[in-house]
Formats: sequence, structure tokens, C-alpha cells
Amino acid sequence: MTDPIILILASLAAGEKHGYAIMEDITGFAGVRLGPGTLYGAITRMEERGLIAAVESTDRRQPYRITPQGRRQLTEAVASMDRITAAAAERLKLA
Amino acid sequence: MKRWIALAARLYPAAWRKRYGNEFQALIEDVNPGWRELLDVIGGATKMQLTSSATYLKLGAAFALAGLVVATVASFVIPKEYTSIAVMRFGVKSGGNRLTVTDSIAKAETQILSRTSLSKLIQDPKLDLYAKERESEPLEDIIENMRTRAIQLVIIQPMSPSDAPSVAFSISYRYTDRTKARNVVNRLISGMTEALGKAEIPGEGKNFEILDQASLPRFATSPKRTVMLTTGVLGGLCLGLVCAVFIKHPQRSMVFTYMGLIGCLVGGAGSLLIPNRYISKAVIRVVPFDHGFEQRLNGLGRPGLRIQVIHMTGAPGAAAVELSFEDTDPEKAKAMVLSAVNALTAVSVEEHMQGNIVVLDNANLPQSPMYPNRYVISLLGFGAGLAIATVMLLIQRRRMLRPA
Repeated sequence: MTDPIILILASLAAGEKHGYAIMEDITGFAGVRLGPGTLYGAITRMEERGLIAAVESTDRRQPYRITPQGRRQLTEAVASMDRITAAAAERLKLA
Repeated sequence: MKRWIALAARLYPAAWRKRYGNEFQALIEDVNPGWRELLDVIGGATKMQLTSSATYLKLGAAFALAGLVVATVASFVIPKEYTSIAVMRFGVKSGGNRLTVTDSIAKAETQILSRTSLSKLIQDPKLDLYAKERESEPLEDIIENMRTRAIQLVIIQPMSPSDAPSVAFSISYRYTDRTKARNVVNRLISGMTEALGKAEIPGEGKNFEILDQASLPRFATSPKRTVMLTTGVLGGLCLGLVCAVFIKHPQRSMVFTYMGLIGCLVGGAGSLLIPNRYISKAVIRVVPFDHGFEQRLNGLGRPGLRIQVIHMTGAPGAAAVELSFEDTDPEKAKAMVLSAVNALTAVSVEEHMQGNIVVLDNANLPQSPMYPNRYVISLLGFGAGLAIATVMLLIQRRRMLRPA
């Protein structure tokens, strides 16, 4: 659950954000603090794979948005995590 | 700390800095960085250097350089070997033929390369060959290595009219001490002279001549530095490129690796189900090889026995006949070839032809199977695994690109 790609996709699913905003958002909803190197390493790979795209901006703080492909990957990841969570809860008799 | 992080950010590839440098700098200004962030940026820069578009070039060059260094060190560590060589000619002044002359040389070679002869040579206090090796290896292995790798006897070519045949040949020996290498060649020449002097050979006036005395080599023949360095560079380059593929495409590389290994294992296991096939062979020489003998060969009546006739260009009318038989049982294969050889030899005795059929190589008991070649089958399995992995990844890619 600490995969930077999933965390960034989850953050951008709520709307476009720049690097620092993504970092703060993730800390807020996941309690995970991504370092600048980790964040931009993930952003580089995600942009290459077409999961996110840069939004046109004149600010030095470059905002990014999630692409349809990124949304699909996040949906699949959420479904997968749901299945794992349900199975784990069932086995722990928490359901 | 921000200054240190700005410096660490310069470790990123230039192309990356051109695209993301400004916004990355803005992010650094926004956060309140500490040691953890500094280490994170250094780690990110290292990773980016390894996964940038120039990864193949960088890793290829780094590994090629490492290969060059290793090969250079190895080429100096491996002891130098010198090859001494002598050229001789042996023949008869009249009568006889090239085949009998070559035969005599082969018999003399067998004598000088015998276990007894080489053992004496190695343990001679004046030569004291392979002293270090003898401390750790059995003498039998050292003799075998000397016979098969260090000493070479090469027939150069028949170089005389057929009525006064003579054959030129060279003897060479490779050793770490160039003086000893020459001394060994001189001893081998003496051995050949003695053996050929005693040889019973048709024709008159045996003639043994040394055309080139055993040389004292000035330069080492091995290790071949150019070959070693080239191999090191190319080996390093290939390894670097493979590593680059693993770094750039870790998931796909693992899929290929697993599928290749599974294919290899399946191929290897499958090949165990195929029964081993052994081939036993024998070679006989027939003089003269005429129509009558050809009929005898055809009338051997052993189904499955393969017969190959090789006409000898140097000796008109003579032929070498290879008899071979393939079976799952090596003993049976040998027995079949042996019985065929015996049958042919018996015919020659009955018809007073003894001496015209010479068994050059008698039926051998094959130690290893000729089929199936398990290495090739495993390799084919590996290839099939890679092909399946390619198809799997193409299907996966197509599914990902399909609109939701």
C-alpha cells in the first residue's frame, strides 16, 4: 500500500496537483511521506507510461493530471486491494 | 541543507534536469529538507542515471571497461607458453608407397606418445617437466594433457613422386620454458628417428631428414593478449547490455527469465524421456578395394549396419571403410560392429588376402550417447520459453491499451 505510483494516482484522482501538493496530500490521506527523489522518480516513470500528464502552466510548480490510462490502472489496483482486504478481513473474522 | 540538495540534484542526467529541473527545484524550495531528503535525492539521482535513455551506453561502457581490466590482469597472471617446432621428412628411395610411409610415421608417433615414453620424458631430471602440476595432479592426467594438447604432429603433405615416396611432417611442443620446449622437441625427434629406423616398410633406402631443427622460440604463443582483451571487452559489453535491459525493464526481464528457465527445464526433463542412442564405429583399410570386396561388404547381411567407403587419394586402389551401428545398448552396438569386422577379416583369411585388410580403429564401446543432445533440447526449450513470454507480454500490452 506504499507503492508511490498508486499513492500519486490516488492523489491525482481528486484533481490536478503540483509536486509539493501531491506530497502533502499523500501525507494527509496515507500517512506516508514521499521524499523529493522518490516522488520525481515516480512522476518521471508515470509520465513515460502515460499514466499522468503535465498540465500547461506558467508557474515553476508544474501541475499534473491523471490520464484515462492512469485512472484504469488505479481502478484495477483498488479492485485488487479490495479483494485482498475482503479476504484478509474474512480470515480474521472481521467482516 | 537546501544547498546540498541542489548540488545532489545535479547528479541527475542532463536530459532529466532539462525536463524536470525547474519544478524539482521549486519542490525543494517548498519542503523543509533534512538528511533524509538529501539521501532520497541522491538515491533518486543514482536510479535515474541507471534508468535514463543512455543506460545501455553507460552500463555497456562500464562493463566493457571492467572486462578489459579483468582480461588485462588475467593475461599477465596466466603463465606464458612457448612453442618449439621442427620439420622432418621421411621416405624410401625406391619402391613402397605414400600410404605405407604415412603408416610408419603414425606408428612411430604412437610409440613416442606412449605412456611409458612420455612418463620418462616428464620425469627426466634434466627436463623435470610439469613439476608443480605433478604435486597436485595424477601423472596420468599430465601425460594425457601433454599428448593431446601440448604435442602436435602434423603431416604437411606428400612432396615426392609416387615411385620414391616421402612425407614431410612437423613436431611441435608448447611449454612455459622455451629452452625446455626445444629440448623436448629434440628428444621427440630422436624418438621418431629411432622408431622409424626400426620400422619394417616396403621399399628400399629409408631416408630420414630434418628440414628445420627444433626452434628456440623468442616470443610466447600464449596467452594471446589481443584475443583475451577483445573477449574481455565484448563479454563485458554483452553483460552490461543484459544488466541494462534488467534495469530498464525489470518486470519484462523477469518474465523472460522465468519463462526461459521453465522452457529449459521442461526441455531438459522431456529429453530424459527419449532413450539414449549409442553409435559404435570401426575403420578398416582395404588394399585393393575392388568389386569383389564391395560385393562382400554388401553381403554382410547385418540390418542397420552403416557402411561408408572413403577412397584414399594418396594411395590408388586403397580405401578406408567405416562401419557403424546405432543402438540403445552400447554393448550391442559394439558387438554388431565387431562381428562385421571379424566377418570381413575372416573372409580375407579364407581367400588368402591376409594383410590386405588392416583394422585401423576397432569397434569401440561408446561411452556417451550420440542422441539425444540434451543441451540442444534444453536450449530449444529456453528459446520456446522466450517466445511464449513474448506472446504473453504482447497480449498483456494489447489489453492495457484497449479503451475501458
